[in-house]
Amino acid sequence: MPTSIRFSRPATVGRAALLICCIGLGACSTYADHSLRLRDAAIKGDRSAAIALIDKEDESDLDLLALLQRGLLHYEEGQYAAAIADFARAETVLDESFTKSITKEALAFLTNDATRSYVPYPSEQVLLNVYAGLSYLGLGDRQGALVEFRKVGQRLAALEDLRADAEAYHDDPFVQWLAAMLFADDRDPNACLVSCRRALAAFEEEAEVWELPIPEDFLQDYYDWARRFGFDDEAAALAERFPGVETAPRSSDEGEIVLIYACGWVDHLEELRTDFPILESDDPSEDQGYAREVWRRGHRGHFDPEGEVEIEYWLSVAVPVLVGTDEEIHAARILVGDRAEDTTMVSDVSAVFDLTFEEGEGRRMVRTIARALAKYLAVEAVKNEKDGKENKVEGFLANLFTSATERADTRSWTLLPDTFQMAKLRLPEGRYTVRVELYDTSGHVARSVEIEDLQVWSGRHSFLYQRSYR
Amino acid sequence: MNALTLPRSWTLVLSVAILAGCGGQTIQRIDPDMTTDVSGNWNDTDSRLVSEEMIADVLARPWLARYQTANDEARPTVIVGQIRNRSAEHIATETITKDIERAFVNSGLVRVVSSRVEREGIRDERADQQDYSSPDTVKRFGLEQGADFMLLGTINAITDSKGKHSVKYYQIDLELHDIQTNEKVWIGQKEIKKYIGKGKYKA
Repeated sequence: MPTSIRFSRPATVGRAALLICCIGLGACSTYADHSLRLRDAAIKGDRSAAIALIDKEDESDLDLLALLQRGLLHYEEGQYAAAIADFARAETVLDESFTKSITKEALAFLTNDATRSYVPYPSEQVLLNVYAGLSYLGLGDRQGALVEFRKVGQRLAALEDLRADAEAYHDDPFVQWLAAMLFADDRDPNACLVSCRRALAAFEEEAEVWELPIPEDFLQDYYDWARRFGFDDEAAALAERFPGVETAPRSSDEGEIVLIYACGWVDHLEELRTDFPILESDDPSEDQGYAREVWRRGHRGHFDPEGEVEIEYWLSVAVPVLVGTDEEIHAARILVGDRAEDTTMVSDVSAVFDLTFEEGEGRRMVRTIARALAKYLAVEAVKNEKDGKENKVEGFLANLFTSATERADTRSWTLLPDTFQMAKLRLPEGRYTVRVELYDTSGHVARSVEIEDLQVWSGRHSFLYQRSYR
Repeated sequence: MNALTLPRSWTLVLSVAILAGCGGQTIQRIDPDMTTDVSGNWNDTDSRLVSEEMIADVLARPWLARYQTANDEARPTVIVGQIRNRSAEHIATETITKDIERAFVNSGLVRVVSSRVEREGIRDERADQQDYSSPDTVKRFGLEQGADFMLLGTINAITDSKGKHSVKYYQIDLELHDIQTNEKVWIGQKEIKKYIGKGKYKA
């Protein structure tokens, strides 16, 4: 503890105000708290409670993030029309977010980034359309699903300016593969093969950046469709590059069940906060010595000056940092009679989110530094406003405001899964009872779900979706 | 103690905060034929432009006269099939197909039969009549009017965008197929191109 800290003349008033403000701000519910409550409700298997938490707000006040969260909950609750309505509204808000609000930008400059309108990270923007597409599939509207999957390509192209130096995720292979399945069902050879080529290029990029294997099921699908639609040269080239693909022709009388398994929780953001005082006695020209001292003060419990000190300015900086979640359940298996297939990962949602979050690091840092400077200058202006006399009470309160309002923008679409996995099972046309088993990390069945009377059509894909929250 | 009056810089901050909370909603009824573009996406005006041009074209082309000459001035029967949407926008293609059906029927030159989905409902009703309607009003099976031609179509779209500028190009292709011979007897095409500019800032 410091021997004595003097906040300048009216210290009693200042300390009282500080205490009141801190209590007040401490009681404020943050986005992180709200997001945790949504996750908790989902983990307890009570998605309706999570939806109710969002519905508590006035419908017209729901922001983009609330719409995304609720859309996903509606989808996983099987309320596909409601999910589509939420995602459509979210997309309208997102498209309008290109036009920035001057008032909100100004407010953010004097408070924190969390007061800006939420613009989802690129990976979240894509997943908006992925989940909207899955919702259309849930309603049996395949054309509607394809519209959403086409939007993904457009969205990523539109984000190219912002992601000029992106090392990966120029296309979404999972979405391209899903689109290829639907095009194949529609007997649309060109569109199917174009989607396959795009998926392969994107899978190869991910293999290079994240060392993820290209799913064998995808390579087999690509090969089969190339053969079926008469692209023999392309099929032969694929078989040569990937010797694992089975070149024996498959029965065209069969259909296929596709299990999409959404596992766990996507990485989320938490606040990393640093508060430290700049003293009137400080001499920034001391170069390294001063930098070391400031660093030391920034760590809680290390502000330990000797003698009486007077604080010139209390600097607070808060930045968002990535936090992962360990999954208890991590794999799934689809079973029909004596046939079974295990899931394999087709999309690492967290890895893509982390990548697109880190791409914005530079812009975030520039804004943080600019905001810290603006706040400092504002406090200085308030202090020196009265006839050239130092105005310490107002200066202190202004500093209190700038410090207390400094918050990291930890908003993100937290209900997304950590990964998408997929399993495919080919079966003759007919109706089947399908069991999906979810496995924990020790290999035991943690949960089992039975879907009765699932129709499999010859030459078509039937989609199933399963989610685990733990 | 110093009075806690708000300095000028703080007044500015509070003004910004208050302005951020302002807003409202206005609703007014407008003429359905009025051109309105809000988002730049496909809208009622695009649908109307396509319908008007396609209807004028399909009724003016020689396939109609040729059919009538070859069939003792009988009117051809057309079934309006699906217009497949290959764009990245949800487009209600039924507004176009319904406009075309209406124009065909009202022209008196073309007969229109029910679509696949409509037929199912009608057949269900006919089946119901066999059990529940009086014998003199019950309708028989096997007397449906077979179509001579089928109208099919696609909507393709290309979007080119950079920053706040975006150009959308739609191409709508409709084709009339002779169901007996697979011959395409009429092809209509309509192109629509839009430039969409977005402001960078709002209040």
